[in-house]
Amino acid sequence: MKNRATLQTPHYIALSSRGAVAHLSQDMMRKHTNVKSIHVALEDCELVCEGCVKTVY
Amino acid sequence: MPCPTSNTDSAISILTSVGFRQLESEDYVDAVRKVRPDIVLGMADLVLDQKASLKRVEKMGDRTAAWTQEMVTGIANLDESTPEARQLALFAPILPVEKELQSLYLDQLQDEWRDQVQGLVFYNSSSVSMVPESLAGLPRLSLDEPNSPQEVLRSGSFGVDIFTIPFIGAATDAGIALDFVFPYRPVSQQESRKSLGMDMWSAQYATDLSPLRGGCSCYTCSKHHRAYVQHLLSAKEMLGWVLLQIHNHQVLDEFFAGIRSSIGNGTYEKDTESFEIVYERELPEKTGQGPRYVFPSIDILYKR
Repeated sequence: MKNRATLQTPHYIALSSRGAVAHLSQDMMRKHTNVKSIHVALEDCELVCEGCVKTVY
Repeated sequence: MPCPTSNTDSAISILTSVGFRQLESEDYVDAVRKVRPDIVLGMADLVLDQKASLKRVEKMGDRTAAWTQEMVTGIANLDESTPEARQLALFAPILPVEKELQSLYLDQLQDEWRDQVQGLVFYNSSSVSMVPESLAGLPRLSLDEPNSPQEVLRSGSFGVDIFTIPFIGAATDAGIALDFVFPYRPVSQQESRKSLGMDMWSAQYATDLSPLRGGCSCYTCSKHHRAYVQHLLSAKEMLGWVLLQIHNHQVLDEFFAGIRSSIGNGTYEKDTESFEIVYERELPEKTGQGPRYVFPSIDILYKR
């Protein structure tokens, strides 16, 4: 994808709620997991700040 | 998710954190233009009722086609001239019905929208067989909900490329540390099936100073041990679930890396069979309570 990392497949997209993977803050997710893409519900899109890992809905 | 109101020609019924709502196709397109996600999943008219009439099923294709056209038109003229502009990828739905019943829609996908669609999204892994030849090269995202790694392996053999895996979060909430490896290389003959995870609420771990999983490189396993996680859960400390979530995502990362290398080596089928023999068929029973949910209405809905 243009300007984004390549996702080797098969792989998974992490599920999120209110802009973050459950139980993890965004900095924890970036630092301690290899999660590179998350599924974001439409209603959460306004909550997700610019510059964090994104986004599918 | 079955909703009390049905979809209309212009909107779908959805469950939001503030209750059931209708999402209009034009509002969805508008939101996509503003938010600019990397991937957008096209709106689909799904009928979850088994007893839907033939006419209703045919309408699924017509509505989905109309909404796909609206999305294609809506994102066609987005500004992508700046170097930082990200390309928006549209994943078109493939409906979980017989190919013949969505044939008009599939034809349009192939003839009119082939260049505007960068992937396909499925609601049911077995629908992957519906993919027409000319769309076979597109990446496939499944919103199906596998309940175990074995189901993930089976969906993979149908051709799914990108998965969503609710059981990671479900296991974490239940206090279960996942523990499975693919491909599994047995060291010795074993008598009983291996468990897919450990219920960290169990008192048997209260004095166990080993990591959740030996050899695991995640933060939790490198810095903490089982007794600590067991203590955190029983003290209802949020950190317990944080550590489990980090670990469980690591297990899935390694699982998928194993799948990719197994496919690369041409041993996927054989490795899948071994996995199904070695491991139990389901994740361990949930015994502990998850942390409190913020949306009690959803809890009642799911009878948690």
